[in-house]
Amino acid sequence: MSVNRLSPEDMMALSAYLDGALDPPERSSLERRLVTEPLLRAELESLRDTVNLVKSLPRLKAPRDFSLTPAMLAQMGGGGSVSHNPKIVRLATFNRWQMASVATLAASVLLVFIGLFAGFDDTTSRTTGSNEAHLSEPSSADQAIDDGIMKATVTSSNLPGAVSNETTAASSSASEVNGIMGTPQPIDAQAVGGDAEEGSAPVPPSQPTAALRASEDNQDEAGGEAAMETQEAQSPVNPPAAGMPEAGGEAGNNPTADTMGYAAAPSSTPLPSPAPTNLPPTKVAEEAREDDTAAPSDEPVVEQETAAEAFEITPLLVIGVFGVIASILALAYTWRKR
Amino acid sequence: MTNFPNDERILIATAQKGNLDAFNGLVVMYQDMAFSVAYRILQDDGMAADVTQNALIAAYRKIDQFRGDNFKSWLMRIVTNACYDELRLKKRHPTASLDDIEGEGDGLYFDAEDDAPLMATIEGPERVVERGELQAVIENCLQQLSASYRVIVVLADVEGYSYEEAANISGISLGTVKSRLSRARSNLRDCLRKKSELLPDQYRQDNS
Repeated sequence: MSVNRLSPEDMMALSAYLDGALDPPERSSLERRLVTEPLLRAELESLRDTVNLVKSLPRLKAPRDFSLTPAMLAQMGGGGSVSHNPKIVRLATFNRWQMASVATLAASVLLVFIGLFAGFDDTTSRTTGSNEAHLSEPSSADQAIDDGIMKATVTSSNLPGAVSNETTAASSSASEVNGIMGTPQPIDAQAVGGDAEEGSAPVPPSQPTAALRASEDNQDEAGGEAAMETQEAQSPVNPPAAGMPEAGGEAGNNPTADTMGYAAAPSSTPLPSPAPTNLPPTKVAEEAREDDTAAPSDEPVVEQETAAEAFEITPLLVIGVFGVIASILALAYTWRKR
Repeated sequence: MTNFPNDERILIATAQKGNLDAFNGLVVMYQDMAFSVAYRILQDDGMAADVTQNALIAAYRKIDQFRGDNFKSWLMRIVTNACYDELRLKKRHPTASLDDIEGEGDGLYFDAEDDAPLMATIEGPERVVERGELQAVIENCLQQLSASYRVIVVLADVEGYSYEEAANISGISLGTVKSRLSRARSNLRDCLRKKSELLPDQYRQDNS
């Protein structure tokens, strides 16, 4: 075939010449060669025929109307890139992103809830833990059972101030006592002292609790009497220890009390009113100082305090909240892109 | 080729504000061309229709990115890219990539064994009769080109785009357009010669 006699450069020049795409110098050079080279001329003509044939191909009619509909756009959502044709692929891409956002949102919301409940659980378990600790305390406590304290305890644990409320109350009362007495950590000392005897770990809150509970409950009508009784009940050798097991037993055995405790916790105002409150705790504190000064460590109380307040800022909660924000932003972005 | 009718400009501006009706005005103007190009590149009615539809949707989605004065080229680039994506996806053409074809030399014409099954499936006898013999022969030879050559022939010769526009649409350099077009035309001529007995007299090419 004659085709192969021409170099690719010549073929390219001929092709461009047909389209009028040669520079003037190239063009005149080629035209000069065309005059003298029949082969080149023949090639040009055959190429011209070919191009004319191809150009004779009609433009095809679209087999249908390709106008877009809102439904089509909704169905085929997604990014701006040209799809790989199959509608399913594009649909899947769209869904993948949107579903991811929705799933993240759902997971984050779940995380927030888990975080919230984990926070509650944290508080509750610690409190319950200490209550259980009380339960395991020796029976010597039983001998020391004092009616007053008993009453105070029972009353208070039935009241809607219960566990965590008490804890908070205890700590705030403690600080109050501190302020009034000018004595650092009297309650803590007492608390730990009581615990140290029993060899059990984080009991303290309930110790002041027994008394404080009563004092706090003064605010409620039931408390007044109880507080008085608590005062009277100071006589036994180890009254706080005596009170503790009961408090623990009560709270531990009574899930309703627990529930009420942490259900009421967030809304309750932990600060006991100073006037009626101060007296009993002060006494307890005094007693505690006299009673026992061994290994004063205020950790347990502090722990309780933070636990009671920390349920709102659990890491899970934080992550969850961030997740919610992030996924909402992602959804909004996807939406905007549509 | 910058014929840019006033109403087209208005349609584009309105469509860029999210007006679907305005965009559909553009669809009506260009859907035949888009489908035609897609069909000639893909050589399959169903695939061409799907690609055209998807490319139009993609164009609507990113019409706010359109700058300049050549909407037709911009749209055709989207269609052409969609065709390449489709070809890659279907793996019907190992040489579907525009870039890996360079330097393959003359051998690519009729090295298109991969095209044979495609041809057999789409070019039924009824279509040949329907379109006429000559057209069928040309289409047949077009099918035998590798995709990257076919795209340039379709853009430059069938659709009449300038080299610059063809380069812009297919995303290759001007020099590559020239060389590919030259080789493609050469290959087409060889194909047509082989089938010259099917052609009317005036199109017969001498084997000089």
